[in-house]
Amino acid sequence: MRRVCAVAAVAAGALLLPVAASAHAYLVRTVPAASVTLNVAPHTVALTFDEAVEPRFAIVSVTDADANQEATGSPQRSSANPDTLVVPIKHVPEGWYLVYWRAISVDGHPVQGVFTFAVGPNEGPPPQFAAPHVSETATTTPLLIARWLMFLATMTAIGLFVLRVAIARPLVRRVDGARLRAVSIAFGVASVIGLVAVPAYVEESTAIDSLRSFLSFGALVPLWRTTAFGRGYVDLWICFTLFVGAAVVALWLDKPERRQRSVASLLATAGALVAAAATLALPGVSGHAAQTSPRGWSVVLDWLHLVSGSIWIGGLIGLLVLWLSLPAARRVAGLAVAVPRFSNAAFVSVMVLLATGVGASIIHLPTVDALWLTPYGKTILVKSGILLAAMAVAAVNLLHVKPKLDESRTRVLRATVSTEAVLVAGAIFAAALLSSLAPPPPAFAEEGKAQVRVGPGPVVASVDEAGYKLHVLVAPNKAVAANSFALRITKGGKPVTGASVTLSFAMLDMQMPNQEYQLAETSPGVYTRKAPALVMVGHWGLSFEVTPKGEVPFTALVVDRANG
Amino acid sequence: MSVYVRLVASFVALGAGCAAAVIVIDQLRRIFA
Repeated sequence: MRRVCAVAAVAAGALLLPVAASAHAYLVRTVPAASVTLNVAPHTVALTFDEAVEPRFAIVSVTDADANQEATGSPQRSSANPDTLVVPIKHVPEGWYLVYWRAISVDGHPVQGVFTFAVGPNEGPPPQFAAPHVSETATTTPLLIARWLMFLATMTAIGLFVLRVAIARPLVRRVDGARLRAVSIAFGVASVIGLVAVPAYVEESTAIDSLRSFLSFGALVPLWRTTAFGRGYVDLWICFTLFVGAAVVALWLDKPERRQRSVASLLATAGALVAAAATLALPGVSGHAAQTSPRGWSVVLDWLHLVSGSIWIGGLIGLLVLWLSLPAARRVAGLAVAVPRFSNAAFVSVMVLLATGVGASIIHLPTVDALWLTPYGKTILVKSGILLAAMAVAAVNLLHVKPKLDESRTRVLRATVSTEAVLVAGAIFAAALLSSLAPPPPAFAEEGKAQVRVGPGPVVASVDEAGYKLHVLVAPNKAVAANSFALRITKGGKPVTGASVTLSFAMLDMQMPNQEYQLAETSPGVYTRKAPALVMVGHWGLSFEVTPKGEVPFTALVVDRANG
Repeated sequence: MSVYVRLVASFVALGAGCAAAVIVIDQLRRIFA
């Protein structure tokens, strides 16, 4: 009951937490500024982030309308500001230029974007640049598989250890001839896979970030600890190695046939459990959780989520191993000891998993609709769906199989536990994908305030605001193109003339500096501007700030989707 | 097997746990610094 209260307290606490801002590397300033027209060609392009990004992992390309590269060197950290990357460029002639940048956040996530600038005074009309594909993640299939294997193996090894030393231990005393050797061997196999998968993941991740081959060990290994993310996962490897060492000693010293544990066995088990707890804290410490305010809560929720997930998946695989390894004559008796004990632990684990998952989602998502509008939110829904299916199977075990375990029901148990283990492994795959996606930026909260959603393709939309009727036109509504933006304002059917209209652009899929343009009145009540403002494929918040002559100003927000 | 060997092994395992805890505390210190 106390445990249930604690879980409820954690869930309630999570619900009360303020909506947080996730903190990937955000571009806060560029020189030249986005969409500006300069009269003198710049010698460098400088990008200032909100954190010190690693220049060795950064790419900055500056291209003209014919896609010729104008950058003459690789990005360097500015001596004046460690948060600024500077790239030298050729002496460029008049015309339009596209800057594409990619950097690695301290939490290991790539962030990227594009913007244009022009060198005048005769820069000409903005050309149609090829819209770069801006992906939500730089995750490749091998990287995702390595990440999944790493989580699956480390969590399973820890869960199997807990099952062996805490849950299944009495089996040896209560059932004649029963042994836990198979569970220990399964723990060994999972540990070996984890010990290989963690460095393989760090190597592959560093290879992708620094654009090198996986096999360039000489160049990549010194870079492993360059980012906070890399340091975190190398530390995870060290902690997991320490856990495996301590756990092997603990299993060697434990004599399950004796009820009382020796002092040596208790000390070794305590050491292994502390190392396991440390291992499971590191993904949160070096990932999204530590970059998301409130950090303390976020890291604790992530840790509890992984601890409960480990007990669940390790226990399920352990039960399957027990089912297969126990002699047929002792299977029912053996499972009658192990299954009820595991069910109690699994029930608490699942409740904690559910509460911490809900809490973390509340912290990471700026709005509820981000759940179905962003890839991050959709992955949470898929993961939740898989876990709910696993819980439904677990409920069958708890309510139908566990109360009257006999020969026929142990066969049902094998099927249900296998299904549950496959589903939980699938949920861990979804979690591996989830943690490789960037959570929606705080700007996404603007999405919920939108009066109308438009695009892709040419836009003709109407909005009623403060007694005015606004007609919004965007053509051709393409990314990295010169789009024409028009706003026709009427009140009572008559055009509203002489108003001041400012249009600001906020990228909603990724945090980047907003751009602002003043719209000119080109005919009575019609305010227009042609600008290459939609510099990326994705969702844009178009905020029209209208100040009618002598009237109270108001704002209308349109969420637009621009394709390349 | 000697009880001393067991005790030494158990302290090594406990030490491994403490070392892992120190690593995490160091990481947490960096975050909250």
